Amino acid sequence: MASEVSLEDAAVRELLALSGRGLPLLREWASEDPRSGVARALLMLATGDGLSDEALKQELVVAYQDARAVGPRQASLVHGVFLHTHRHYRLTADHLVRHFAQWPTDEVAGLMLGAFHDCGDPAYREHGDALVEKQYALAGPDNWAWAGWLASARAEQGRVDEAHELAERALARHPRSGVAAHARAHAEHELGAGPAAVAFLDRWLATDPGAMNFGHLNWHAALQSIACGDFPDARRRADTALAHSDVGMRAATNWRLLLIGQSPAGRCDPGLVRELLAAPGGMAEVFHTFNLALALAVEAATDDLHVLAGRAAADDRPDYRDVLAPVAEALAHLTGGRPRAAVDLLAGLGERVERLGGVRVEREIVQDTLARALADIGEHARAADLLHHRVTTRRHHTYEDLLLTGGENAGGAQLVQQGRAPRADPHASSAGSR
Amino acid sequence: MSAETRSMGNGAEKAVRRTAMVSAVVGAAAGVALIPAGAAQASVVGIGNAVFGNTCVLQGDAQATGSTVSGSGAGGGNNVGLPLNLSRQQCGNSGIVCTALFRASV
Repeated sequence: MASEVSLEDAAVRELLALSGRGLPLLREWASEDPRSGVARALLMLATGDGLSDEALKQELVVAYQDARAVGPRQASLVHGVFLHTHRHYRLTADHLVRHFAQWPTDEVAGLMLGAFHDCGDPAYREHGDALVEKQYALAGPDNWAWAGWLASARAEQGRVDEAHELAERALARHPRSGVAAHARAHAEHELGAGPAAVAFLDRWLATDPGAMNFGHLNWHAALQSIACGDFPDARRRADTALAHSDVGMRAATNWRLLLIGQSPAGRCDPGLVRELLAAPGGMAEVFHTFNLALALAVEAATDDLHVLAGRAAADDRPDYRDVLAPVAEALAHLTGGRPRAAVDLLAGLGERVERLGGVRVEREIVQDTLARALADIGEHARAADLLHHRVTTRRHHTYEDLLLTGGENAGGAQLVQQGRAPRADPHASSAGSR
Repeated sequence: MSAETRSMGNGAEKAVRRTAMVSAVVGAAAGVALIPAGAAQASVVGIGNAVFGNTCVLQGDAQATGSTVSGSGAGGGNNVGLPLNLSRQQCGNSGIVCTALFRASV
């Protein structure tokens, strides 16, 4: 391997595209060139979660020594991987700022861009968006990697048309760009593209069923199916494409289905959810904790939700105390059959919901929950006002229409009902071993 | 990685990279002690301490001092610049989320 690791290397290119070939090629590269520090480090970036702290550190020390022998860019990349794999996302973001100042448009470093979001600070997120915009400008419009990343940033900024255009641009240059396909899915969620979005995702995934984001893009397709009223398809995707460990996506699908009176797909094991919450660092990150709260809501685990809300309320962190706590409490009220109390808590949150983390499409479910609660207490005008922008801008909005009727005339599933559907079989999912 | 697989790149991208490399700041030993030694590190992007300003948390007795360690014993030798005493943080887990643009899928 030459010293200049770049998009020209097949392993790098496939990793950037989130292709199913990415990891095998990376393993091959690391095996054939054991002195490539960057290869070893990227392998740790992809798989280091499965290693012990000591083993991870050992691998990265070796990678760093080898990378330094090649040059400062390689050493800097390994350094970034070290920080990222140790989940020090602010330090990673800071490091990337310096790295890109010296090696503009370095796509390999782009693999760690998520750090700007993962550190949970809006200032960092904005800085990351600005950095991506600058790198795209430097790289030029033909660079599919940066076009895909900028498309993702634009989608999250609500600049949907730009996001869609950039995603299309990236896909035109490199049809297998998983980042661009993902960004397009976000843009099309905002547009309510429905069957067209589902068809695109299915075509895209059919070419590479091993794609790293196979489950996640199927989740986006499931949301589109819900948007246009194809609930069996949404359930099928949740049951066949999501891994047992994808508690958040499963809960986010099922809670939406329940909000509109539809039967959910196979549910999570509530024991697993409690286990995840009780694990070391189980409540360390607000968005993951919110996802686990949704999973409890799907189970109508009202008591667990009250306990979670209490823990969040007692937390020193404002995002937990001021946002997660009322959201979890509101979910408890809904599953306990008290929609008015849920409305009182959720209606006052406004833009503070952004502090739950995640991205727009993931946080939108809080608005959905409020709309359903408003409909349940007969506040139909308020509910309609809440969702007005969605029913007027989304081509397909069967989901929103059903939220506004409180799920009436739908499948009859109740938010407060116990034993709603069988649990997801961890061994039945084709994605269970992903 | 074979030479064949490496030769599939785009010439324009190569030119951009070459230009970028030339125009980059020269002389700084990036990757080598980019993160200065010491516990209190002002963040580059925001205000505050980058080491402690994470959403994730440390467990047990681990300390995140952010110090740069040389020859700490983990592999020994030429490790100047890697903050080897940083501990891996716990971040919670609810599966894949949208912001995970790249993460393990195996």
